[in-house]
Amino acid sequence: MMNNDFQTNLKPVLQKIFVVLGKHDREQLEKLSLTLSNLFSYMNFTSHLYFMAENLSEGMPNLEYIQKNIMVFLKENLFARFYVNFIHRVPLETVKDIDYNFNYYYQAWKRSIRAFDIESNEHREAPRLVLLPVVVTDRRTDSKLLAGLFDRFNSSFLLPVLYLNTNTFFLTEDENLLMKAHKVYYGHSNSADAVEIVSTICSQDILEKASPDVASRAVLMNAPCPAALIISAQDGMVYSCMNAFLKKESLTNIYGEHANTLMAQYDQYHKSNSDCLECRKQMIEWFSSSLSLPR
Amino acid sequence: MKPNYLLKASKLIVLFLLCMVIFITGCVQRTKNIKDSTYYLTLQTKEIKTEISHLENALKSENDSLSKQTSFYYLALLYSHFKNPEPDYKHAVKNLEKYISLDSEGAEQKSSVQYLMSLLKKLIKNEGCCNELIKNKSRCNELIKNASSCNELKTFITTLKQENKTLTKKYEKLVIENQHIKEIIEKLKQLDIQLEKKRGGETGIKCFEVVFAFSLTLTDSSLIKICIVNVLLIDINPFSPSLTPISLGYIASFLKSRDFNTKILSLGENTHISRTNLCEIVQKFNPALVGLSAYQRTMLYVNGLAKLIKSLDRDIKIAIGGPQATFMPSSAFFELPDIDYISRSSGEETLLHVAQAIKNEAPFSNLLGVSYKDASGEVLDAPGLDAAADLDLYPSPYLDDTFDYSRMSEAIMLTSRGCPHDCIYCYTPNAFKHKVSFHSIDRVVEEIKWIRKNGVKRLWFADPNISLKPARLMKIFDRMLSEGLNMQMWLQTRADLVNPEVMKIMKRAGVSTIAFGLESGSERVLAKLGKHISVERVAEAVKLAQNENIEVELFTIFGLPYETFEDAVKTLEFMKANKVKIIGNTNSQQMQIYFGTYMARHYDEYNIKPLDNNRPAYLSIGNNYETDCMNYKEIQKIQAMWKANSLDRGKRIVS
Repeated sequence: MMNNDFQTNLKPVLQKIFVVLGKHDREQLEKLSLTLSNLFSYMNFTSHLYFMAENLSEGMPNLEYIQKNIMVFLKENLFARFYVNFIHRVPLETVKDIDYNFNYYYQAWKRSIRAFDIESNEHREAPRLVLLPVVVTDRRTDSKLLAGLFDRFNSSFLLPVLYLNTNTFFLTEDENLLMKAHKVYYGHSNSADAVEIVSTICSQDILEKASPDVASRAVLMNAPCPAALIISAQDGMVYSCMNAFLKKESLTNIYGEHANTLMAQYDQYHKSNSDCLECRKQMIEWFSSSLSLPR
Repeated sequence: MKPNYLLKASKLIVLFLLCMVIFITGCVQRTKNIKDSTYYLTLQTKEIKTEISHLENALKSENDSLSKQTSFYYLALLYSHFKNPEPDYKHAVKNLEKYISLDSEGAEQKSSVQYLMSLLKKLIKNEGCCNELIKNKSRCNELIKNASSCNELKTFITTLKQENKTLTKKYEKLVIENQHIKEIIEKLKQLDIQLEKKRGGETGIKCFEVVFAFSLTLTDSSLIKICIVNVLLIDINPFSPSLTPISLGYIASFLKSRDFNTKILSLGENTHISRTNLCEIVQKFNPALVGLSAYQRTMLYVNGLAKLIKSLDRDIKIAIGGPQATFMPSSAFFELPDIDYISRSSGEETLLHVAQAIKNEAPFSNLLGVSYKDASGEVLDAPGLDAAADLDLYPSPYLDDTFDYSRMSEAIMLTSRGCPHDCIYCYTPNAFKHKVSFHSIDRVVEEIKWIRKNGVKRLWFADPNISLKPARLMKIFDRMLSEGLNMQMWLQTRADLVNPEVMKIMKRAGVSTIAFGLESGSERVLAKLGKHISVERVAEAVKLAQNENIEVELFTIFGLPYETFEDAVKTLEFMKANKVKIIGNTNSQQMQIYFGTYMARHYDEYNIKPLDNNRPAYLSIGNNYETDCMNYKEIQKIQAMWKANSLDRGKRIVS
């Protein structure tokens, strides 16, 4: 909005980082955490971090380990705000499961960021570190039990997010559940694997970003893609966008590169692909034909 | 008598005496070889020398004493002859003495000769005097000559003085030309800065030493030292989209007009910027002064930016300004370790003084309108200063292209500043001392024309009460209509400052939305807010706008003093009863007790109970309170009710 020539030719700003957690050793986790913490300086002041785990019990310890570095960065940089999305499946068969999972995992997770809640309360403003449990549902998910878990989340200022696929669209019939959800993702197949979830979140993000432009009749396709990185922790592969992730065209390996080198490579890639429309094309195809939205 | 006349007179006397001697003595007849006296007396100038030579030779061969005597005598005459071009009186005396020594005759002749002798001796003596006089005369002539040289010098000096006068005039003209050249250099320097920026090698205080020669009139070169101070103004609000930062725009334009290189960075929720990029921007631009807009809700972020900037360069001075800063207690400095100045007065004037002090390399001297923490850490409050009463004195950030129109969908304009009213919850009246200052209609229309020409079709008037002078507003809209300036407009004003006529022209001119301050739907509560307006009057204004098909927004607040939960619900019901959509700015919010409001100073008189008194000194009570009429839970409940009735989940734009 300002005539600022100094804002041109700046390095790309990462809006999101997806980390697909997997089976990795301690050394790899340390390296992953260190590289991520160096990447935070390249992230937008307000950014989203997505950590995807096969399930709650396996993913949470890894997430908590990485989260320590997130908190260090935020304490050092008071102008930054991060939304940490933890995408996972959760066993919900009985009310007891809710109690157990909530008390054992989620409450501890929330307590770990207590300093940010105090800071938020003191300044009467939204916290700078926001935790979002993204619950991936399956056919067996009971909407009432899930709503009960979401109530617990809301009362603890964890923002519940619902991930649905074509097999679990039936949950949208529970308006009470949808009201409690901070956000709902609609997967475009019956799969719930990492590739599917990452592509759903990425494409929905592109759609949401594009909607105001469409509404104001601006040209949809001329805006650059939100800069994002997708990291597969298991093999260390780093992908520069959804399309590259789907095609398995990795940019580099996170275990072999320093964050600065990684970002230099990303910058190069970003510049040479500034007019790429593949992700948006993919998004339109999914949302226009494959997805049958609930009525 | 002059010496040459004296000599001539002496010669004539000698001649006369000689004649007398010759006449008396008659001795010329005595020898046969020697001519007589008459012969010698009638000799011509040319013949004298020959005759002397003849007589001298005759003397050498003469043995006769008488003849010798006669020769001596005539030689004496010839040597002293008045026609002798080279008379030699000394020789004449010598010959006469020889004549006398040989004279053996009468004493009478002898005494006459003696008399002649004495005359000749006198002549010799006079001749010496004459020579002396001649010498003196030449000296006199020399002096006269010198005197005339002096006169020439005087004339020369006069001429020089005249020339000097002419040169002084030329010099004065050159000084003016020099000033003009300096201005050109200043412009060139600005271009140079831009080039430097592109090259990425800027410095905060940039000193150029420009050596240049005036080829027209001056032969020597002149040295001018020019110092440039870069000022970076930052607006940060991660909770709403980046809007045109109109206040920073005014400050930037004002500082630019005073030769400060100023840039604005507006960081909203939709701005893509990383820590790395911000560091790069600061290092590239290398500001000497950073101004940060401070609001209650952004203080944490302001603090964070200040810390980052200082970590890059401790010498960068940081000022905070804006609503939160104006009345912030100076004790806040102790919790703002990276802030150097807190602006208390008009942003334009205050930052100019700070920037000037930094430029003068005395950052804590001659300050006005700020509190500051000097180099020793002592906190001081400088005297306040007043803003210009005529807003046209401030350059327009629109007309000088401070803003980039290509990225602007909506222009925010301020045609006036300040408010004369007394609402107890509002910061504006106190900040502007209950005064209102205006831009001229010409200036407003000129800006709108320029904005429209640059492709922006929406205007947002941020004036607290744009129809404070209804006739003025109508003239602005009349001009817009007559000049074909079709704009979609948002504006806000008091409900008692509109009438059917004003509303009609608003509609015709393009006003799509009008916002009024209702504050409370309870007449009882509204009466205690110092707003001096009735719920009924607001309802009438809403109706007037709706009749013209203008969208209405109503600013409301809950948690007001003396407001019960039931009163708060009345406000919500007012919306429904008057068909006002609960969206955008109509989403209600809890009263914020900001620094500078009447409420902030008298909250206890209104039975307001802060919930936390251990907040940082840079924060006011804000919304962290309950009242004797509504507790925290009830306040939360009414907030939830508003959110539940909202069409956009309660997302406000204006705070």
